[in-house]
Amino acid sequence: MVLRVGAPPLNVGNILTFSLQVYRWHFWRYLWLSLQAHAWVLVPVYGWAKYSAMMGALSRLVVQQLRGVMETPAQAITIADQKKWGLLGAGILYALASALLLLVLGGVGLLLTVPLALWGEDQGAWENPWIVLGFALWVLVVAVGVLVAWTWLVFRWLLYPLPLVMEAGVGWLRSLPRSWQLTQGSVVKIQLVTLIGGLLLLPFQFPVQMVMNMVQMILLFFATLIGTIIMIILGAIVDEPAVAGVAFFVPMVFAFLIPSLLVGAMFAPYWQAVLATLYHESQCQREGWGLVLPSLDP
Amino acid sequence: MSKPFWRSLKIATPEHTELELVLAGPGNRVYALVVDYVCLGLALLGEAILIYAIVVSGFLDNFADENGDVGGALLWLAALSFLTAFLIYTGYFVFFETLWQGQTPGKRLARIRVICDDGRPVGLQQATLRTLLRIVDDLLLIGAYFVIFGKREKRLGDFVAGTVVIQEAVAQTQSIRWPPGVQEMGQDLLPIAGQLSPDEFVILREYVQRCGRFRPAVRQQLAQELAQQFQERLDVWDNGADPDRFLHALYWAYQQGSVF
Repeated sequence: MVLRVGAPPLNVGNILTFSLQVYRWHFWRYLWLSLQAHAWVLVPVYGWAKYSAMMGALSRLVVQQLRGVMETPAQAITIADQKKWGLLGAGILYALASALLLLVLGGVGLLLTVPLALWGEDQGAWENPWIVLGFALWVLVVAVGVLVAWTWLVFRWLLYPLPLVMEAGVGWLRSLPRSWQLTQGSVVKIQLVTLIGGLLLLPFQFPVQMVMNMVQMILLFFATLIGTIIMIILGAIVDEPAVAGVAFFVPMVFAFLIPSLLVGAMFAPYWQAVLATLYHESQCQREGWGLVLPSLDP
Repeated sequence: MSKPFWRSLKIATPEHTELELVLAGPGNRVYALVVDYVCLGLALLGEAILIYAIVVSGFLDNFADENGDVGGALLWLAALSFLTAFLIYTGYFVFFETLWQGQTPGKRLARIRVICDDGRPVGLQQATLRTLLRIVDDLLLIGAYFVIFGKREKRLGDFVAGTVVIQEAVAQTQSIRWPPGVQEMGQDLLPIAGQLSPDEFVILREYVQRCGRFRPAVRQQLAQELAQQFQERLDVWDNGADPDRFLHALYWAYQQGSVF
């Protein structure tokens, strides 16, 4: 299952087929890793670093798979675990940069549409259906434009966990520029992969969502039960209705959180595989990875 | 124990040779479908705008009955627009798959093609059958399950029409930018270039074809490493030469050697 040197570049569809395939072959192994990672999310700060490390380990496993290197999940986790704080730091940096960019670009989008709408209101232009249609189209164009522009920038940093877990000497500050370097010229490809990759999950989303809704109902039932018991006990001890009320809601939060974490855990290996394949592909295409003469030694 | 990356299909030809074709894969199928549905969506949007224009323009007043009521005409227009939408939806796939030998704009972009089970190109009959069942396949995602889990990635339409969707062989036609002085250097390498093994040549070809996309620093370093390896392998020592030019010259020399 190694992609040989000399194979044609992977197009959008083949990147997704491969990611789906690799998850299918190692379904239980990857799912178990992903479940562990998502369980860590419940532990603040340290757990989040662990989560980042295990997600990194997942993508590392897929890259090694593509390169034909044998590596066990335990080995990958050990390596990724050394970088857990770097991964968390880079992740926070990535989230902050993305949020800031979205604010700026969203602001530009509003500037391009709201004043026009207000001016149209003044002129009484909304009487004319053609102007309404034209304006609706304009809003659509601006919205799509903002989204494309945002992803254009944000997706350049998308591969940031991979250099951290794959390359020596890359720290959390270096990982974003490194991803920027790797993704040069392939933003459209990444945009398409994300969009179409999401659609490819649709057939799986329905059954998973259905099962999760049932899980959620069962959890809600128990959460209500446990919450009520805690509330009664607490109410008897502290005699403060507010504290007892908060105690009632804590199990509720878990009842909502756990199903969404399970859904996340279910699909995360697929997305990590997509990231890993994009990374490997960029390294091959942009940096000539694997261009080494076959060894003469037996 | 390495599993094949792509699912493939073997077809026995009447000449008793076996053709191995690579199946399209769910990724490419969805990619093509999305592109086609965007094209279709634009066509249907165009139709909707046209209908809207007809209604707003008052053109229907010409068809009003004696009471000046255009209700009947509106009904006709609605029926006509539904019929047109259906014709656009089915016609799009049938037209392109028949005309472009199993390809639609989306399939062309994803480099996949519909063919008959026996390897022949699809005709009007197969394209129509596939398209008529497309509604069932696409709307309830039934086709998606068949493509993802089926051994031959056939959706219902494919089963009925007797077709499969395969990947097109990619022709590597990248133009190579030769650095100056390659031919002069290549002349000197002509006698030894033939010693390269096919595996080694593949690496050389990959370098020459891809190096235009490498970052300058990466290209320089990779050229140096590769040139050194090739020089050791071929036992030539050309220390003063630019490694990148050396690799291009070696490629050129090998090609000359294989021509004659």
